[in-house]
Amino acid sequence: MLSAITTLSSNAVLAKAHAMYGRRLTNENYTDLLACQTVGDVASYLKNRTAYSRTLAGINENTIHRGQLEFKLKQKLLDDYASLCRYEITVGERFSQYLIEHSEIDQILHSLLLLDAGKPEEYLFSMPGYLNRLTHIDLIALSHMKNFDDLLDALSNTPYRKILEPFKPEEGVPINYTGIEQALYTYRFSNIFEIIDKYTHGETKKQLREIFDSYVDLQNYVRIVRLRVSYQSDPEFIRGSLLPFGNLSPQTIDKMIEADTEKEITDVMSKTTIAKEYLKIGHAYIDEIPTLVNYFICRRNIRFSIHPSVVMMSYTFISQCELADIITIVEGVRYKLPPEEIAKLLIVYNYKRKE
Amino acid sequence: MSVIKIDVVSIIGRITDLDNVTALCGRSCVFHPDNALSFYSDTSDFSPLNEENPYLESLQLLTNTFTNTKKKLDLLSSDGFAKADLSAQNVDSRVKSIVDSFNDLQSQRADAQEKAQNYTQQIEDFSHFIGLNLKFDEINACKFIKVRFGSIPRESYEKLASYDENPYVVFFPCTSDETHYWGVYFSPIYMVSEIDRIFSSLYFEKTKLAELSDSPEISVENLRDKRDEEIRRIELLDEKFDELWESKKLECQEMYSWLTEQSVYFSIRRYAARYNDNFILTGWVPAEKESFFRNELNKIESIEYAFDGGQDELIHSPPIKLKNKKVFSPFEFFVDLYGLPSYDEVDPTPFVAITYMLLFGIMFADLGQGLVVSLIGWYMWNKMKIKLGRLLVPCGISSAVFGVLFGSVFGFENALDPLFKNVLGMSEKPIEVMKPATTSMVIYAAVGIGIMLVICAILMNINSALQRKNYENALFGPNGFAGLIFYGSLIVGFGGQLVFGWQLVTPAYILCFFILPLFSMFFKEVLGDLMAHKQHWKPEKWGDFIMQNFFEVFEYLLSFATNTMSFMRVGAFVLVHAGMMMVVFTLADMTSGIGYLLIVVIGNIFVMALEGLLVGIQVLRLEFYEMFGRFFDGEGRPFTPVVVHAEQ
Repeated sequence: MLSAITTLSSNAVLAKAHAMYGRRLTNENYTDLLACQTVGDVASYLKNRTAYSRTLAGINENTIHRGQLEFKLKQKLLDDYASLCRYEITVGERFSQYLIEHSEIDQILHSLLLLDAGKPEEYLFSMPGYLNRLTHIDLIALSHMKNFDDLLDALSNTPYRKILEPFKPEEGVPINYTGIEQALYTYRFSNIFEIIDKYTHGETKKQLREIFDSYVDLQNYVRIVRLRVSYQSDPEFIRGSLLPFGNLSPQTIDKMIEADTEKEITDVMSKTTIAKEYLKIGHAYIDEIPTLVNYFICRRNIRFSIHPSVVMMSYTFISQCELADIITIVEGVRYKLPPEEIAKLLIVYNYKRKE
Repeated sequence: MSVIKIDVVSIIGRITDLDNVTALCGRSCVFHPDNALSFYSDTSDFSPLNEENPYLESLQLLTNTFTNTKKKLDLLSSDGFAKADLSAQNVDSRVKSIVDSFNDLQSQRADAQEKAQNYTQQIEDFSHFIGLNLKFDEINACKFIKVRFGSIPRESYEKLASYDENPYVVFFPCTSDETHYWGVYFSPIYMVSEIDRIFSSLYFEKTKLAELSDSPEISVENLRDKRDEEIRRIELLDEKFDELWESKKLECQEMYSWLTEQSVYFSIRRYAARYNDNFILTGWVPAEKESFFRNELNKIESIEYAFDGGQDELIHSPPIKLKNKKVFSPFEFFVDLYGLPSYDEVDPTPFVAITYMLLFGIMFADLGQGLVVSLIGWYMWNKMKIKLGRLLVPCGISSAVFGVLFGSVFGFENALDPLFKNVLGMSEKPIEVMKPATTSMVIYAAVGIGIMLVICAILMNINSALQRKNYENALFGPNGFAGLIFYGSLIVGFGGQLVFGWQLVTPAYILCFFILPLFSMFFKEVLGDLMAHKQHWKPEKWGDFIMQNFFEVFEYLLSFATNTMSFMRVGAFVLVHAGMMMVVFTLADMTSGIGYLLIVVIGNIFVMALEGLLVGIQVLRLEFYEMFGRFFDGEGRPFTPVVVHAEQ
């Protein structure tokens, strides 16, 4: 009986994810959005011509603020994700936390930046109301924080308190933002890898690991390049900034850290399996590689994978890429960038054009 | 062969005559142009004509002007604009002049519309502040305080309740709606940038109320007057537009028709080739229109032309126009869907018509439902001009005929019993589908029909291949004589043994009718090349050849089995139809009176819709996959003569 229900729900997740994927933005939509002159035009287009119409139903496109629009779009992402997780009863409940954790960590880091800038009370203004009902973090308390202790209090009843406690700054010492960021991201990835290893097996596990391992490897590669080449950071600092996951061997990482130029680092990286498979994907700048490759893998999975969890996570990542592109367009339009300049920064649009 | 005979015509003349020739060809409505360069082997001295269409720009300008209006540009006949005195020299200026006058009105209208929308928005904004007894001149005169009127989203207003860091961040609401609060905030002048920044991050939208000199009420009234003025201006402009359209309508349509015609005729030029100061243009003309076309060409004395039969130009793939009897022509729709036959290929339309009607009728056998389907098809074609309707009429009639055979009328299996007993003197209806003995007969009969249709398809392939002089395929292919002998012998030998107890399958039988045909199929290419007296008949590598052909022959054998078994679905659908109606009546029997009637009616509608769709698709699948796959390539291209006016 349970296996029958599992099969039915798996079919439902696959069908639903594919149906939702079918409503993604097309090349034509991107071209039309790039031609918009104001944020209102973008909002109006999304409201009237795309699958975002329901999310943006109540807005006044003439008066909507850029930040409001972004909030609405991010809310849609969470709602879509939640609706898929509901069907994926095998691991959905556990995977459902992934995106919420992602949002929670973003909120913690944002509030930290404001705290460091001496304006912690302004967190209230950017607090996403839609997250309140999903998170265990007391966002209201977070918006009232005045110091690091208040932040820790707001994170009571969450695992984040324990992670941040060691980073409590001494008097007169600035907050170790980088260290906290590293710790939070490590926590997030360790959670997801634990779920994958514990609750999935076979081909599902392999495909899910590919998504996250490749992202981590390429993220580490990009970090090494940036820290080594742009900031001339010392090897110990670089090692401490890397995510302790992925398939890159310690020897490969050491060689990359020891290299001096981007070309040398890339040469070392090119000998790895992941580089041979994915670094040939054309990119405009190095920082977009992890997201671009992630998009490529997820796009392939959503078309060919038959495993619900894989399809669900792949759809989520693709949606995140699409959302990022829309936000880029909104900001580009807001600050009157030429369309061709905005287009260079887009992930999905440029990938489609290269096909 | 049910395709119209077609001839190829080559026209040569001076380049200065090309316009007249293309116009003549276009006006004839029987000329299908083709790339002239492809008809000649040595084209080194030829060059293609890749000129820009000079009429396209004006045509685009004219059509774009009326795209978003309710005014439609109709195509007039050639007589309709003969007196318009249009030429390539004067048309551009005339189009520009007319388009400018229309565009001027449209831009004025767009401007008025934008202003009206702005006024509407301002009215809506200011309306939220009606009732405030404010003296804006005094407010604006404040030196130490800045006042900001505007709106803030509900969510942001609720967040403000929790904010107490800055005592000046206070919003005083006047009104609210579903999404926003409308009100005001104040700021001391030394903090105005900070307060403005905070409210901006709360998505505060400023309303220019403070810039007003009058009260909100008076301002709103003034705005309403201005908006009404713009609306009146829009109406006036619409009237002017209509008047202008009435006065210029004929001229616009004349220009539009002339430009469309010239543009279409000009497009024929790209098929022609240039040789010094001469041109050569090639195209296809139906054979029955040859004399008419000759008479047209004779009107231009300085050109020369030559006609050849389509069968002599098979290499250039003559375009195809199907021509079938009225009863078969609706099924051209399916042939078109798969692909048109090549010029020397057999037209499968009659075959499709007969087999489709037969199979549909068997699988959807019900007198009442068949007649309803026919009626629906008649309505679809005659009233709604849907092509599928033409197909449903004969299919429905076929279903009705088979429905009589199965004795079924809207699922009532015994409705026709009086006919059989009293009129035809039978003890019961001919076929009782749900009887256990009949069930297996139905399946066997379906397989039998399949065998016959497969053999028909093979025979058609042999005929077609022989006509095309493709002897390899006709004699040695799996759909040729070899395949026919193999398949036929298999059916006769084993089928005869099973059904009639014939002992035909002896070693000699196996050798002559199984092994030998298989051998022919295996060495099809070699035997074909030998027959054609080709020098290089041996394969390059025997090992590769044997390996490849082993799998190919295996595939042929498999396809014989699967194609035959596939026809079991015919029998299956007969049973499904009866079964579904049994379910309907089981449900109906649970009620009585009006409930019974309702369930029967709805059940019949449901079964007709669902099963009609399924049967239609399944029969099409059988046609395309099991039958067409054996004898039909469908690589022809359609005959599309240059025509300007659709009704021509």
